[in-house]
Amino acid sequence: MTSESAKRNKTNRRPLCGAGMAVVCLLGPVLVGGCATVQKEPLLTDEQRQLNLESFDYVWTTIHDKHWDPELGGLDWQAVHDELQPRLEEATVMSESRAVMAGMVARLGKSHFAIVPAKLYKDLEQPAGEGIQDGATGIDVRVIDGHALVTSVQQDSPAADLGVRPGWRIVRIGEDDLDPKLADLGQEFDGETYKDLILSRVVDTRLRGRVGDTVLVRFLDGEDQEVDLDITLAQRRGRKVRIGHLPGMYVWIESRRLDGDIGYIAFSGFFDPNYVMGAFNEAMKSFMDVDGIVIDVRGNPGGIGAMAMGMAGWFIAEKEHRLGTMYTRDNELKIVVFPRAVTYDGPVALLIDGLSGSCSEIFAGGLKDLGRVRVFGSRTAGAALPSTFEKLPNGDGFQYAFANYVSQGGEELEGVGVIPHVELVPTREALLQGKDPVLEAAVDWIRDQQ
Amino acid sequence: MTQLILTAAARRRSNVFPGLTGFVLPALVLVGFPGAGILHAQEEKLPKAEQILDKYVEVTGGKAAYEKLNNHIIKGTFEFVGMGIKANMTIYNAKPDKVYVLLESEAIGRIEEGTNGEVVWEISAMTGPRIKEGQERIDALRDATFNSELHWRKLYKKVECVGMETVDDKPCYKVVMTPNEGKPQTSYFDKESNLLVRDDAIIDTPMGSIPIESYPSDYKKVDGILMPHKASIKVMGQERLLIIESVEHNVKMPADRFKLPDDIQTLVDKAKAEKPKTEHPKPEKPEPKRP
Repeated sequence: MTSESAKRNKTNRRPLCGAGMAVVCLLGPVLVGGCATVQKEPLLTDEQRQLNLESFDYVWTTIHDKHWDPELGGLDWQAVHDELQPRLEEATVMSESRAVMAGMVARLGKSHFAIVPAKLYKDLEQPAGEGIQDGATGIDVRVIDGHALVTSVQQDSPAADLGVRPGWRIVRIGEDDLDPKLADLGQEFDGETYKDLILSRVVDTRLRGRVGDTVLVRFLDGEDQEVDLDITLAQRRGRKVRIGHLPGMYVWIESRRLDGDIGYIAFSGFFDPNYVMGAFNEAMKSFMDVDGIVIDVRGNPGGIGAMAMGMAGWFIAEKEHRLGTMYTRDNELKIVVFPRAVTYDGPVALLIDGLSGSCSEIFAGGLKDLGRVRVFGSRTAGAALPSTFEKLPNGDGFQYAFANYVSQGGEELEGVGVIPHVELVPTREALLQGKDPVLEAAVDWIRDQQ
Repeated sequence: MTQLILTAAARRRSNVFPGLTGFVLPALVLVGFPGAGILHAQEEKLPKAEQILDKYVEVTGGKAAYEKLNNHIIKGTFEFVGMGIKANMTIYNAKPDKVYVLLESEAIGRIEEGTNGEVVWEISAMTGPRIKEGQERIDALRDATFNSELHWRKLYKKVECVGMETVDDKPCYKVVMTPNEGKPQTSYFDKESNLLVRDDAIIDTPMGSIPIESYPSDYKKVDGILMPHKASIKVMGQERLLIIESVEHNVKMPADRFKLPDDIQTLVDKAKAEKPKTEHPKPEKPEPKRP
């Protein structure tokens, strides 16, 4: 299984800072050295050195003992230890130490292995609105054909108030010209399933900050005229949720009826079950009479796997179906679907893109393999491994995958992603016209089923 | 009952999923346990399993003390160790085999499980409502038996002391208990104290068979019964920690505590409606008599 996995991953490489979905979101600027100023780090104390060594050993041992493949895909894990421990001992500041550990987990070439800086937790423990990532412009971004495009603008957001429109191109944020950076990154990650994720998140994280901060953005508008806007960040959309040692995040869910009596549900993550599942369930109850349903997981990085099981239960009436199977070193667990008392049996369209990851992929891939949904959009990130998150002795977070995952159709999603039935990427032209071609294609398909 | 409730709670938690970045699933098996060693059974004559189990009742309070109890409410916490996730837990249990368990946390939402002695069910914020069937149901009903310590003869068709092993450096009797239906479980009783210190079982769930190791400890007396107030549960490479904070016996239980929730009743009604009607065999026509 592991040698095949290696073949599937063209480069068998994941971003240095770890490809855990949330970590990529948070560390986007770090990937391209995006910090405007470099602060001098304090030197490590003896205690910190010791804690870093303990953390290194913990990471190494955990992977040695718990990775689902005892052979680690042929990687000589002892050799990695012997090579990197001296480097850790030579590290003089925390970032160097962290880079050694992040480099160690990156050798595995899999998603969901990451080291998260402790300072991120401190920030994310701030009440909503006070963290460094709590402020946002209201712009949703995708990098399409090498350019950062506004794909949607949240109503009543700072960007909307200033007249920003879908289809506008973002060329500069603060001091950073985006196109050269995106070109470099695009080359570096060419062929990787998570390329879209990396590129889009690099732009997106530059548009975040504290509520009240301002960010200077240069756009090219619909006529390719330069528009410079100083955007004051407002509270991010959604509820701030914290799950154990996972860095906190914002989650939202929306549902509405589209023209033609089609139900539409979109949500930003599989988190906060009481809230998201509650709203999802209520939406489904209200949509039992519609002509079709669109589930939109574009941009959804994943979350709690069991929620995918619960959501799938609205669309599968028979028992003993599963979305896929996860394999640990000693066990396998079926990701079963538990049918609801009343299920929806009409056509269901599922929307995905390159930022749909992990649990979104399990949800989409499983339902696609069961033949229950028609999938529209672009290939997902190919980062679908069951993982867990722990705290290290030095206070940093450690994410590691403990199982492999195979979708019901028999394919590993890791490094491959979910490939839609209908491949569509919005063009700038379509966005400027206010269109969402992926959603439109899904709606047209549902209408054709009537 | 308490140790079985803890174990049962641990078993039920086997399909609770902690949410994590990307795709994160909960209970994963822990391999092995610390301090295990095998003592040669030939060094001393082993007691019979029946003696060990009866002795357990004796040292934890005695049959009379157990029989005074009709129900209890247990409150505590259930922690996903190392993951920073902790849920509040409440367990209601009443004679003969009624249970209601509630787990709540922001991370995993609200999870309820229960049985009225017939229907075994779960409602999870993550996965929705379901009725447990097959071996999962059988195991849950056995675990729900109040004062099961007194009733092991009815619940298990065979019990056997198969040797001794050390648990946390202490010699223990290893007892394999085979239920009337289902997979054997292995219980380890401290040789000196006769207390249960480890319990291994394989839990059958719709997701698959999951091995679980439970380590009850911190025994405290409540209403004459010595009960474990802590259990470390090792499942699929991860650890859970169950802590009991309070136990109330013989409470005035709410009348509808064990009533089936509406969502479950709906599933029950649906299953009944879908059940194929039993066709009674038609009587055979008598063969005509030969002229």
